[in-house]
Amino acid sequence: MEDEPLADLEATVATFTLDRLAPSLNPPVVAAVLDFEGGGRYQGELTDVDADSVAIGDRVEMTFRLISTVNGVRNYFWKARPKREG
Amino acid sequence: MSGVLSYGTYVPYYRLQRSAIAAALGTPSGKGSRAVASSDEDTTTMAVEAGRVAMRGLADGVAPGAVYFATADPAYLDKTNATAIHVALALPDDTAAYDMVGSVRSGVGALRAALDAKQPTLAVLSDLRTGLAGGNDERDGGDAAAAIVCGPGSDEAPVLAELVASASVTAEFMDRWRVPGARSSTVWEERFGGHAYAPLAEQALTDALKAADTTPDGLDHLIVTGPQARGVRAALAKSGARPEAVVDDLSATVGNTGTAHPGLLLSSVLDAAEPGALIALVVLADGADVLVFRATDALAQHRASPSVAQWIASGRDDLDYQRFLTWRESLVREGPRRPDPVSPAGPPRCVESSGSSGSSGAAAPSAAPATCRRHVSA
Amino acid sequence: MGSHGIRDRVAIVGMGCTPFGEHWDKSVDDLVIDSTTEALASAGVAVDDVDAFWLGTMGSGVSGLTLSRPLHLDYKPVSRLENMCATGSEAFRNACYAVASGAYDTVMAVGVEKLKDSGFSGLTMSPPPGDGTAVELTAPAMFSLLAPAYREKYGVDEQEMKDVLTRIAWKNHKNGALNPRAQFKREVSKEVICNSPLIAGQLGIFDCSGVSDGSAAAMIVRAEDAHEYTDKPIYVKALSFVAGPANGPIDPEYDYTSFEEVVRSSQDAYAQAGIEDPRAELALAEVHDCFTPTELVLMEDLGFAERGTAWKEVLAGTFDLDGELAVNPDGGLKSFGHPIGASGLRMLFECWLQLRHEAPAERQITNDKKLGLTHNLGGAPGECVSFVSVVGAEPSD
Repeated sequence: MEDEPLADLEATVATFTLDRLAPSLNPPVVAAVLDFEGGGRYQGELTDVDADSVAIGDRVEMTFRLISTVNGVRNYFWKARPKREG
Repeated sequence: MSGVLSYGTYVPYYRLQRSAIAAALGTPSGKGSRAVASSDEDTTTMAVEAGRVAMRGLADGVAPGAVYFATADPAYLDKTNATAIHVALALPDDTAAYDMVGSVRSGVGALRAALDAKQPTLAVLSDLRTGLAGGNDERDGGDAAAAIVCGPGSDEAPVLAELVASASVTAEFMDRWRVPGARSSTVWEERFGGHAYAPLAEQALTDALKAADTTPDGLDHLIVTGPQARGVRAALAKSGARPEAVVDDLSATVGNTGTAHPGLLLSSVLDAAEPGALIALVVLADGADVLVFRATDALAQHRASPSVAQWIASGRDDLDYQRFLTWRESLVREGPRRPDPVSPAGPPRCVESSGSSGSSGAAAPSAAPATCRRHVSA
Repeated sequence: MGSHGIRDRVAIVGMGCTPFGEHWDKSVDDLVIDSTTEALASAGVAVDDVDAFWLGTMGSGVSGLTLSRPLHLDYKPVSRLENMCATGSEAFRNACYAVASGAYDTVMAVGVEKLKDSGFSGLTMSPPPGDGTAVELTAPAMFSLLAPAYREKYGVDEQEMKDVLTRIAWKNHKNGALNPRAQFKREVSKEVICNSPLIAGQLGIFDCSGVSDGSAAAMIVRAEDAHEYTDKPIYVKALSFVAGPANGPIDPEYDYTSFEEVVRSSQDAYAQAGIEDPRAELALAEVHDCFTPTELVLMEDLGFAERGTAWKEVLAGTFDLDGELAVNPDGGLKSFGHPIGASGLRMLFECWLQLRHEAPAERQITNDKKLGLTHNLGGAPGECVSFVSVVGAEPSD
């Protein structure tokens, strides 16, 4: 196992779900399994996305976001958003 | 020669049409829309996104010696917020990271500090502007970030816009303030602000243009920005600049992004400015600051991607007002019967961010994206 | 592989199972007293004659004291186990091994969970302090990841998949309606199931198992001693348990249409039990239908259907009570309810009833097959633990 930066690589949605039970200020939570170009997989959230339009094979890019804020503690990590600019 | 070496911006995806506020509250409608940070964004995350664009524009091997993070809406006090930006941008651990937080004026302050630095220095300006429901700040504000790497140029990192002159005037008066922890700012009567800012702007602009050995009509682009709209209008009216030189303040598409706005507007000019163009940035906040730049031949080859216009074009403007209020926690809604998510614990977070490769810090700028790892099977 | 099994060396000679459901008027103590009292009576044993105990609970207590206190045990060994949703099976497995080893003569495996007292919807867990990077999806969301992946791989369209999932829930409710101990003792129409409020992905509320309170218990002795307790002992043919490497979420090879842990544990169990064609040889299978897509995928992982065909078999009724292989004849997690620590033992309780022909007549399986299977899963697709047991009404030839 070695570290490889993935934040600037694009990825493809392998499977996904809409979690309507998880607490969120912007429900539903859209979760996806992502396969990065060149290899590597990550299971995480999609953001800035139309929940009803997500499909297997969608292209996404990583974006730095808040996963949660509880008792003032901000949990920063990466999510993915649909590839849109350029 | 010192100036801008690279720049990048971030405008969040969602826009709230001002007519949506009017429709919900029965108030007179404003025009256009404002940019809205999503519920999973804050000034730190937006700063990272702008910083990623700016860092992409910088040649490999050029690392800023310091990061200055400016915002009027910091995620934390006491704890430095710039360190999260530093780690997310995978900067070397000998790059210093400092906050300049609390006031709108800290934005232009961070920019000036970066321009004064002897080595490449990243100024990240980010703000999230919200006021009381139905108020001017809610309607006219916007959320965005801008990141600008400044410093002396070099072969690998040429200057894109040279700092030609600067001037600053400081004044203490009460036209706008927010008590720490408060949700909204208090603003004195608008007419007072107009009265207070006009002479400060005139004095600073006159000093800067004199130092730049030019006149107002010699400016190709004039940016005047600040949280006091009447003061800005008065300064523009008295500037003597050609009307076509006045830069769009993005109020119709993004809103006034406060601390970030000087960086956002300067970036929007750099996105299109011709070589040799003379650009004046006037910031009216608790005084007046003026920075005069001249675009260089290198700019055309190093413009940011996405541009400000691309960010604006790629958003969606159908955010409903109830969702906006929910995101800002002005409207507290009942959630599912589920426990709160678990906060990260201090020590495990520390283990993770130091990287697991075991290499000593300085040569391993992989810490943050390392939290987003590629699995290499053994 | 050095998995030898303990085929026919131990037997179940008594079982107890409380009704599952909302036990607002009972404590954890009450539930374990109820299930163990029934199991002891069924074997004709006094509590003082039990040599050792294994208690499975995920979160309704810690340590052996959770059992020794309410049962007033006289300084007996009590182990408390946790293996996520396979906790009850894990208690049973370890109890069986203790007898097979010769360490004890008479032991009891007990499972209990009281989920309703949390006040939360669905299952909750308290992870240890972490760095915040773990993805916190709810259980229905994690298991719903199976549905789009299965559809994509096998060309099943969205409506067909909804019909398949609906039929699984409909079948398990239909079976549960015949079970007086089930949490949901009623049939639910396909229309109601299919139009129930969405919880995660394609899954509605009726695609999810019941959040429940309950307890179940089994008395285990050496096979040669079994007839001292009952004329109809149930022999343990196979016990297999695996914990996967949990790399599905980071391994691009994993396609979210299978649980490799289930494949491995079932193959191991079939080898221990000498089963070659599970679909033909089993009288019934009690499987971990935590959510409807889980049962669909399990039909293939357990070897009951060829890859990519389980969805058609579900629609054809292969796994109905009167189908070729009855799956979850007691209603399953879906309808019987899923009090975590008790579920694995509840599955064995149905095998106990069915293989002894003591199930209520309307759901008694009447074929002449003598083997039953239980399958219990803990975790999520790509990162789980899996347990498979085979039990039988007769010792092997």
